[in-house]
Amino acid sequence: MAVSWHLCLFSLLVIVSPCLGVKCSAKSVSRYSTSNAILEIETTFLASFQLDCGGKEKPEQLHAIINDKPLSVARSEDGSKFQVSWVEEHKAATTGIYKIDIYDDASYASYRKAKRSGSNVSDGPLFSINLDHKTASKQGLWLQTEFIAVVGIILIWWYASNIKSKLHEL
Amino acid sequence: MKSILFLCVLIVCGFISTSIVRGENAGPSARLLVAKNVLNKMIVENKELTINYEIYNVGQATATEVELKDDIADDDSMKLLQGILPVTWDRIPPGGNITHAVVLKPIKTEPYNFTSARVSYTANEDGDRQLTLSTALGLVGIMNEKDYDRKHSPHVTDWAIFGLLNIPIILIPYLMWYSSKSKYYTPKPKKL
Repeated sequence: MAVSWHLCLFSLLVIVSPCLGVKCSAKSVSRYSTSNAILEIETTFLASFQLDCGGKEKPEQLHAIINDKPLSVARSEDGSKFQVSWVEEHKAATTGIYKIDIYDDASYASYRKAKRSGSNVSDGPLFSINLDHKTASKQGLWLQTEFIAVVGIILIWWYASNIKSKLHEL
Repeated sequence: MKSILFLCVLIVCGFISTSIVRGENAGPSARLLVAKNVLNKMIVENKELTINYEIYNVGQATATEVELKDDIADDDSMKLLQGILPVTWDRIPPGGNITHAVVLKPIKTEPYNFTSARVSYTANEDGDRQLTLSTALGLVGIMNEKDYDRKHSPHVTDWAIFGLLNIPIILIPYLMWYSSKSKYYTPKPKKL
């Protein structure tokens, strides 16, 4: 009787414990991407965040993957904040959502194993951060205001000179 | 006899000097080169200033516990908007590189001296800490916000005010002419 009770408990723990594994999420996420193409030579993408692991032990080493390319994750001195950043040409930095997948050691190893063997089955990232970016522009209307003013003045002048020439015909 | 003795002494000295030089550095070590680039065409007061750090490992070993420190984040004339400074990375493999970007905002218009950032890392298995300095831009002037707006902003409000001021100047003579025309103008009869 006691043995079967212990067996039940053990099997319950075996089923439940993977779900109790460290599953962290991001909090205080700060996103940035360059919008002013006059001031900046290249577009910078930046995402910084803190980890919320529900009181459990926080992983020290994180890895980031963007478009299947690995990117290193910088950690602040006190270990509480993390940052992912990269730089691209303005034209290459197209408008869209950039998905940053964050892995810890275990999930990263699983990702690399899945990639090496060519299969799609892996644990998946800890979490993803979506960076919404609009291509950096020269700021302002797409027609220069001076151009609009000159066109307006020419139209008024043309209308007035039309009327004037009609008057002269009389 | 004397020459042979002299030759012996020379050979012994040669061995000692080469052994002294060779003895210290055993094993491969990492070597980091750091470039600090300002990604701005112009540096303007109260506008974003982006700095990109590129760290390359040109040595043969992995650099561990890499720390990047820059005094610019603590300076009174700069405000850190985005990014973290100082930061650490756990490892940079040989031949690998890392980039790190921060966004700041200049608060003052006095010329700013961009000094080197400092990167310290553990270069080899013995745990030797090395310090390397990045490239430095030097003294750069910071543009006034008003001057930048005068050159580069679209001036929409200025043109709108100009248009509004012009309307009475154009409309009043036009209305005067139109009222007199509608009173006295008779259209010419068409020739049949």
